[in-house]
Amino acid sequence: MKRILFLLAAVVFVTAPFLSFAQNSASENALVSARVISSLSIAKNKDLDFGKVAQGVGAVAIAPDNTKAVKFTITGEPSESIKVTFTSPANLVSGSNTLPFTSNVKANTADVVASAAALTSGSNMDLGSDGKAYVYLGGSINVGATQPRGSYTGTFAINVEY
Amino acid sequence: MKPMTAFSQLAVCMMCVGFFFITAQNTSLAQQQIPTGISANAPAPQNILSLLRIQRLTDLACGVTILGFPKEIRFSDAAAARFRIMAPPASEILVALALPLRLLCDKAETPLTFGAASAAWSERDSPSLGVTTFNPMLPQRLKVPASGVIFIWIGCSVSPAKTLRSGRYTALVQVEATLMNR
Repeated sequence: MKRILFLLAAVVFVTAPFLSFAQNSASENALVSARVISSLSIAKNKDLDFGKVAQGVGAVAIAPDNTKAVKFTITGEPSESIKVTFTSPANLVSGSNTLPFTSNVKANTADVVASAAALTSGSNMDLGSDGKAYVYLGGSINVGATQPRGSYTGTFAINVEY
Repeated sequence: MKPMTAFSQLAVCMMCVGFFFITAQNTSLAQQQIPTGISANAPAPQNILSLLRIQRLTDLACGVTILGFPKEIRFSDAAAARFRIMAPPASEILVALALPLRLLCDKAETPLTFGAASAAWSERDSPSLGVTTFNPMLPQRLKVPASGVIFIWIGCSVSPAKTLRSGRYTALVQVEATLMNR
């Protein structure tokens, strides 16, 4: 019995270096992370309507704080920075006739148009702590005496992204 | 003193051989990994550990991920996890990855997936030059190049549901390498 144990001990002693060599291993971790945030959405409350405008009236403006102005409500991740881009038509169109249009855009993180700041396309702004921001759209047209009658329309396109 | 039997002599001889192997191996390993400042009698565990090393170079950063929109980080992206494995040149290593199935944020979780080509390895530190893609879910037996260095990149896909709450989600990916017998 002693001989067997002695032999086993000897065998283990001899093979130990090879065992440790075969089991040589190492490991390392990496952190996987993602900052998950809310998707962005934007909604308008109405369209911008100048109503009936008589020929020769001249300039007609709707300020962003006017009740006729459009309010876009942007919803996303609270306090996250977003980029707002928009394209405004240079003219409203009625068939082959055109009517020059100039937009007036302001924005605010709170729904307070009085303290809203002028916004140019491509600007960055932060969403409010409630995840909302507001863009107000007004504009002006100039109706001369020779402006052909008709229903003039155009499309103001706005895009928001993180 | 009682004379040793032939069996005892054999056992003693084997012990001596074993001691020789240990000493010889320790000596060669110490010389290979630590050229100076260590003697041939350095403890074996230190030498064995120095044979194979893994370094995390970058974490796997999925970055801003929008609810309801899946996002993929490819192994070639700068945001991919990057490891450096150092092993004896011309040796073979078995690389196995422990991959999480989800990212966690407190009690919330979002699925994390790894595709069959989400990972790659190369002897160069560039994920766009001469890489070999591999399935990170399967162990890989790799031949260590003459440089003794292998780089590994790991990408993933994350798919946060629309109803998930926002936050910072994390998990760990583990790379384990085992040196095979030469």
